Amino acid sequence: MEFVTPNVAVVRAIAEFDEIKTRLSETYVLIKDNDQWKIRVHEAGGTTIMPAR
Amino acid sequence: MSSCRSSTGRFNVTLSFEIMAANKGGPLKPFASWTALIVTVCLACVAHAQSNPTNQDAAVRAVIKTFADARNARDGDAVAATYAEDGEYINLNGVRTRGAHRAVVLRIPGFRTGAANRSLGGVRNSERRRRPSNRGI
Repeated sequence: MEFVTPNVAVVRAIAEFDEIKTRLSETYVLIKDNDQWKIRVHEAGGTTIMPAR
Repeated sequence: MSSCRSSTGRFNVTLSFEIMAANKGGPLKPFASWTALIVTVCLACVAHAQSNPTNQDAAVRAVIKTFADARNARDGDAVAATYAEDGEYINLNGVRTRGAHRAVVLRIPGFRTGAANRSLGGVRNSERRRRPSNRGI
């Protein structure tokens, strides 16, 4: 998570999908408007196959 | 005159009051001066709290957590509420879906499948160059 400016934050997340054994990297760009943070851009990045458990 | 200056690390808030008695043009009595000082301090504290990176960090994490929980629950309205009106989703192939309303969100590929556990990294403040730490949502 990075606060680029006081009103813009970039968040990187890892989403692990158990059903499909996939790990998805995601990026969110949030903006603060009227004191509320909202997702402005949500991009699904690359995927990696999770190792078998 | 009463003044207060609060340094928040991001910007400075400087508030000052100069209150003159309306009837005689002279300074107000001590009670009014203290009231002005207290109001000034309160305003500075509010400004500090609103710009506190810790509060902002928690607020952003809350949005992502709300999104993740709503997505896993297949709650289109709740997911839509986490997006800005002009928010957009870009999938793995670069296809963009614009708009935050429920109907748009429900068209996002994979919305109805694939519950996921999402984890976030630490906070990095570009202005303060803090080192990232690994923390969950």
